[in-house]
Amino acid sequence: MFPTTISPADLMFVATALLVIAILSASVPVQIFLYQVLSGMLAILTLWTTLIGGNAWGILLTLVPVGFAFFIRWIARYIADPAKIVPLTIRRRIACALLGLLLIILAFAVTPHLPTYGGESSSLRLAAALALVLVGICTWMIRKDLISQAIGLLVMDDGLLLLSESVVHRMELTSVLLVVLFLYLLVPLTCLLLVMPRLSQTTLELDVDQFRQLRG
Amino acid sequence: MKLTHDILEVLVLLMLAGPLVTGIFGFWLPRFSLTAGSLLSLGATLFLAASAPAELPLHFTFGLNFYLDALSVYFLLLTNLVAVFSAWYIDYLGTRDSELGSGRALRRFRALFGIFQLTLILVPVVNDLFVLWLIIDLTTVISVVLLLHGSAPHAAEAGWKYLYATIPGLIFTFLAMILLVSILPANTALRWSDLLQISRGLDPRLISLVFVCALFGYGAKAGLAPLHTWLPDVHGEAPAPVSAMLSGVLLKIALFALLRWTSITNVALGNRVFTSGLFLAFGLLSLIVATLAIPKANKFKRVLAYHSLEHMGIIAFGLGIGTPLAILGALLHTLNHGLTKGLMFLTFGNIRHRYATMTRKDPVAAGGEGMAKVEILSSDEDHIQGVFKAMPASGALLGLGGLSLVGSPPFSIFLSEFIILWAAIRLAWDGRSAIIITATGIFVISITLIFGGLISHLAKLLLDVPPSFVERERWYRLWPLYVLLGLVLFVGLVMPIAGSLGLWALLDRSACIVLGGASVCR
Repeated sequence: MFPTTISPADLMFVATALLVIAILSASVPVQIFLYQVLSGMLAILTLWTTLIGGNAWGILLTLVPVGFAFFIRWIARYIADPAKIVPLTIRRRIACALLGLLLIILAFAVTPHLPTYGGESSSLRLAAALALVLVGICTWMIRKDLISQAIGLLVMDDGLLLLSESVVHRMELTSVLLVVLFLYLLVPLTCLLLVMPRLSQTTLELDVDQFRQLRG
Repeated sequence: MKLTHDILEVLVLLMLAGPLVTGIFGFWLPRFSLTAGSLLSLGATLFLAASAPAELPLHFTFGLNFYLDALSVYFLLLTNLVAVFSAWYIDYLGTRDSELGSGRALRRFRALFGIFQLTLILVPVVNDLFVLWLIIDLTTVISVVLLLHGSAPHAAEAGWKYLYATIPGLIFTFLAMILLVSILPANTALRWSDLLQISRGLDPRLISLVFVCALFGYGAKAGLAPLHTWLPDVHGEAPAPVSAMLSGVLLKIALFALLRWTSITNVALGNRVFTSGLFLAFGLLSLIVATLAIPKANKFKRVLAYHSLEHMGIIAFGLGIGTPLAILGALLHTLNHGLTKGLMFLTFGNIRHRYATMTRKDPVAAGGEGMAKVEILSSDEDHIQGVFKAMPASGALLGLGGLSLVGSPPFSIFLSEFIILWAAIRLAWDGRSAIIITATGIFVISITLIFGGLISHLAKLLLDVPPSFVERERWYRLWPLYVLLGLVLFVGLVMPIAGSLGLWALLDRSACIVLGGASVCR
């Protein structure tokens, strides 16, 4: 199922997947930096594969990771001051890293059993996309500070982008997919620019465990 | 009446026009324009429902690719019915209810509500799965904006919990669609109309996986346990008409998307055992969670939200039983619950506002008849008691709506719950399956306990001694809520003996579509 010869793109898919382990367990300033690296790699990959696929419209997808990589520091500061976030303990970091590793192994183990559109090399892309989605969801669910959650959400979106990029070469889907993906950005933008800043302003808390007003 | 496809297309576009115009121009349009737009939309839907079942499915392109079958029309009917009454609340009581803002904020709220209604109407009529997914995403965005619009102190927390619970599900649904694209032949667009034709030949294991992903995604939006965590927070914090739309319509619209996936999966697998089993599990879990949560002391809007969980559980239970009768009952229950929950949230919204006025300000000094704009605090709910004495008309509406909600005869929810229970007992009797017998037992125990739970909450609100300052309400001003109560009674009383009404035919065809797609139902 996996390609017998490794191309630079294949190596980047694997590196993309591995990078997210660090994102899951790193401190917030490092997470922001790693997210920028990840988005840069994703932009290159998107550009590469859409050009190979012969679909120039797919290049528009490059704008998404580039845009988020460019604005992530500003978004993080808009939500709250990253310096105020209490760093994880060593034990929790190790636990997060192990969880990330487990999810990536899971993603690579499951992928050969899933169908891929476009042959062997698509398997690695699907595995990397799955890894991004799974680790993004985990970061979103288990990291307790708002900025890490924001980065988890963006990693999920990167996974979604990589997933859609695997089918965007199908000409009849291109226009619909592009419109859908760009309008979908309203969801993360609502979360990052409307809900999270309002939440940190009204509760003066960055730790989501402290949001307990609505229990019962 | 036989209508040509051209006329049907115009009707669909008219239905979209009302909320579209109020969405775009609502900020500048006069008061009651939202109600007028919703009425136009409802009128077009009623016309479609009454005249068109034989002409469906309808398939046309007008900017978007539209696809309407009986199931679409049924969900459009539900959406527009609840929307009309919610729109009336905004137009009529919005000038007094501080949760909706005032001046420019209220006008902005009206426009946003129009867009929200438009997105909800679009879900049942779009043909493309990606577009449907996008519109469901947009309903999330707009409902969060509407939630944050209100003056509720914890709205941001509720909005965050909403996104926290639903975003991963939406990503999983996207994954489901990509997997589906990967197993379809090349040059196949991801459209319901095409998928129903070609799904028979698809790999059963992969289709099952795709359905599970979609179930997690849309199940979270439909508020099925264990993905329901956002439900009490959002319904509890949102302004009354938004709560009515979220509980009465949005949950059902997410269920609609899930039903489309169910049809495809059933056709692909050649049976409905897999989808029924999952619905049964999610339904029972929802019922159990609601049974544990409802009797606890809580704010009434949160109790109503847990009731939504219960009723989504009942609907999923009906889908899980999986016989044509049970599915018909489940679909009827979506309408009954939507109407009753609309009545409850809107009536309680009015009561909350009136009590806020009573407990903090002398309304006569402020302009009489509670016209003053008093900010509603969450602590106001603690003072709400003795509603029967303080506000007899609203108290009666809330009491009767509550009786309907717990499934008392002769209200409509009793009818749909009875149909589902009857179908479950018949299946248990015929098949002698231990699982179905146990599930039916849990269903009966659960709805019995919940009955007691809600009645005790209602007794506290309606009876007891009202606050010392009692302001008279003008009962005739609430006439649209009487109409809504009348509808709830109508479905319960008249539907069983009025077989000729178009609703049964619409329901029957809708159930058939869920079982195996429109082509089976010709």
